[in-house]
Amino acid sequence: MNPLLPKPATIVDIIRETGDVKTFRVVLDDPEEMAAWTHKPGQTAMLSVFGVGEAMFCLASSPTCRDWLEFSIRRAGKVTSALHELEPEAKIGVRGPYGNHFPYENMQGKNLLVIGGGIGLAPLRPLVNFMLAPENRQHYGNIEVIYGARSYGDLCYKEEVFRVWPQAPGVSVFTTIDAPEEGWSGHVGFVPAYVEELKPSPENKFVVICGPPVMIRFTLKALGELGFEEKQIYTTLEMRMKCGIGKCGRCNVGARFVCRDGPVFNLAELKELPPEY
Amino acid sequence: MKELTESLRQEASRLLREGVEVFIGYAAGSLQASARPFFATRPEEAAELVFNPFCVHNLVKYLVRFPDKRTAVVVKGCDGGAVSRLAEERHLDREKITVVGVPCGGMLERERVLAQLPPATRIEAVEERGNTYVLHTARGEYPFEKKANLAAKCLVCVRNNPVGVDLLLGKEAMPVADPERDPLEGVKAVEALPAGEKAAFWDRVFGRCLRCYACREVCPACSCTQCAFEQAVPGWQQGAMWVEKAKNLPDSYHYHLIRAFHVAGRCTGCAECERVCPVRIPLMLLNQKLAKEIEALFGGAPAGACGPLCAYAPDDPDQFA
Amino acid sequence: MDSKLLKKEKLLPLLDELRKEFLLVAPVEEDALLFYRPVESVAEIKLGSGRSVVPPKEWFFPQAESLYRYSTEGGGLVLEETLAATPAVLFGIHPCDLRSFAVLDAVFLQEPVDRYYTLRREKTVIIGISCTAVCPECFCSAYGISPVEGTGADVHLSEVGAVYMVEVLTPKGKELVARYQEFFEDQVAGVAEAKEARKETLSGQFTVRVTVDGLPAKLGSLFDHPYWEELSRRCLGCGICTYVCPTCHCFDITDVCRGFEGKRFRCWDACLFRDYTLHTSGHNPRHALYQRLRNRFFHKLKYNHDRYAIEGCVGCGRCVALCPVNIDIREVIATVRGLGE
Repeated sequence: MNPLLPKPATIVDIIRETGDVKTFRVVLDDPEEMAAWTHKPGQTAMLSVFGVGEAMFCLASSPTCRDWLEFSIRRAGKVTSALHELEPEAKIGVRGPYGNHFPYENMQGKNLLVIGGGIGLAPLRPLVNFMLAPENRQHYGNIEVIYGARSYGDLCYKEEVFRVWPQAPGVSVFTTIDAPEEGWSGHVGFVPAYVEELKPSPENKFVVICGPPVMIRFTLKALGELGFEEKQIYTTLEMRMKCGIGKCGRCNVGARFVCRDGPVFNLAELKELPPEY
Repeated sequence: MKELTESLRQEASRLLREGVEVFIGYAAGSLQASARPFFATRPEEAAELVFNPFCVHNLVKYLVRFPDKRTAVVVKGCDGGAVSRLAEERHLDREKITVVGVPCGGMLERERVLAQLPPATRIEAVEERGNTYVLHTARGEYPFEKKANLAAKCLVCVRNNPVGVDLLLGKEAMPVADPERDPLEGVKAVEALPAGEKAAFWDRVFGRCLRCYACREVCPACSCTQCAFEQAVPGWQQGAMWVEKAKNLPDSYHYHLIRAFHVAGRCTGCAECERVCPVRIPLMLLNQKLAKEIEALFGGAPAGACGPLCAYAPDDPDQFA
Repeated sequence: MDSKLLKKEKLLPLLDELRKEFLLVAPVEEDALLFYRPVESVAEIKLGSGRSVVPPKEWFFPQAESLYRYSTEGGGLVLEETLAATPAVLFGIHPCDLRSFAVLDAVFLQEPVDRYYTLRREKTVIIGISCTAVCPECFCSAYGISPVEGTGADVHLSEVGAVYMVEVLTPKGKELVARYQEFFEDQVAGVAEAKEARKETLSGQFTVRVTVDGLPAKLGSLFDHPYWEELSRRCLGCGICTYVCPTCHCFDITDVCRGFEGKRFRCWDACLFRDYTLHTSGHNPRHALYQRLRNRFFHKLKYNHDRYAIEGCVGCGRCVALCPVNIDIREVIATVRGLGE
């Protein structure tokens, strides 16, 4: 098995999430490989556009979804722009899954607070959907989702955020946008301020957070004031990556490689690392 | 060289007391017969400065790293051109810089010195006696006749005394260059090679290029803030790839020719690119060849400090052919 | 361990025989520089104890190598691995570089195993050679390496008078020596002792004594020390130290594509380069040169130790000899050990 060799795959569907984010539904061409694929919430995979390059993305689909893999991708650089040019039926390469995952085993019997900003919801979404899967739901407590974006148009996964999740038992979803806009009757304001307002209790709870660095910084401050401990709070790091298997060196933070030892870290672990992420 | 080092330390200490924030000069290196760039920020650090025939580095490019500071820099005659070039191109604010010139009787080729000195012999002092450098060591004196031991660029150098400086230290240096020797003899030798041999020569030297980009990093004429060869910069050149990052011969040619053409007419001849190259690619052959062609084509044309390739005059008689 | 003798005059004939069966990679000289390259004739081989510019890691981990080919013709996708390794003999490897293979093994042989490196490694027999002199930049002794040590080689040669003492160190080495037994003779008294004496002599030749005790822990407390910014002032930010380092293993992966046909390559990359860690967003975790230089020294002197329990430097002295601005890792080590926290 050559870990650097991608598996041929086909884009079966493309869902436009926002102005610059699309979700790509991908199926591995070899049915046996597709059937054998397993990943855990928070893991990543390397996508190839042949002739352009490879880039690492978080898996946005739940491990319980066996029919396809989903990747939500914002158009930003070379590979992401090339992906955005593709249409269903296009061939790409997939290798992975890579890295560690959100500690869903330790989260059993606990409540979950999900805090996302913009496309930052993508790595957290598999965890929510994994917990909501009928076979898993009984193992987990209440789920609160606080999700914000610049505008309504910048909120991803609208079907889930506004319909599927709020209807699920034990789930509450709080959405917010940065500035008022016509037709939006929900909350307006930044995510950290909304967290302060909602005052979630740290009781028997894990927090997973992902979003723009500035959102994370101020939200962590708010969570600290609400009494959350560093070990309760998990986030996922983004680094430039090439190999995904801990050889090419560039995603190191201290002696840890984000591709293998991450991308998921709790705050206590992050504090032990040099601030080079 | 003791007096020169002394006056260098005195002036550096004075300048640092009088408001210069960074004084860029040379200090002794950790290896035998070596020096290194040194950045003094406090008057007492001036005591570490030295000047001797191992101070081969051109320090001028470091000035670009301190745009907001008052700086001073030590230049030899061959380094001085880089200050005017970078100031002309507005990479430097000349007003903020005190250029300290040191007359230079030539730099010793380190390898020749090492070949003649017994290993681990500490050089205690260097004395310049006419056409010879005498290295004083615990094991006695070792004379190095300049003609036989200077770096190649120094043997044809006529810029021993820096010009355009704010402060000139020491006594006037006597030219070492042999007037009989053609500064372009290397270029002419390659030009004279039959085509096949010429190709084999460049294949050989470019074939071992590591693409470490030391020649670019050290070059005072490579002053772009973003380089055509930096491909990972998002959006830079719309993602154009001028050369593959994966090392291969055609792309190493491509790299070296682009590099040489980008500095054509702006190269100040300090030969740092060639000195830093870990695989000894004779880069000055390319730079000199281009200088030679520019001289032949535009030698008579009026040119400002930025050279004939970027001079513009509305009454330029030449037409585009 | 088995021990044999090889008369000096038999070395080239032996290599010539090996050349017929294996790809022979050996030190060759070009414009007074040493490189390890495949040779077609043993006359090209440069014997002696010089240090190559590019370390022999290049043989297992080439500066650029194709990973696979692809074709996207007609909207399809065909991938074809370009794994290839010929049986080879890597000759004339010095003790520091022998140790470097262990450092690289820790990275590339760790799960998931790097197939390209592994295949070359498996198919190569390494013939080590003891040093006969210590270069002024050498400091392998700091890492417990002796200039006459063969650890890491399959067969190791040490020049002793008119013969080479031959240490047969691995099953691969044993097989090779058995196959070419007509070249070898039995060990005679006094040779091993002479080799030990050489070790003593060479040990006295190191120009700088380097001690690395406690360095990983000490560095841990010095991440924010102003020393790194001071040191970086003269750093050019070029890739010399990483490209000549026998243990640096960072690489980039890029595409080379014409029309529907392309190759995916990997090639060496350097943590000193500005764009090495640059994110697509424009954010750069190590945007300043001092951060990149610090990362390099931390990687060599701490991270590698912390991650793989093997030191990331072997004391070959290449970066010391080739840094154009005299950033000397031996001095960095000494300074760091002396710094207050």
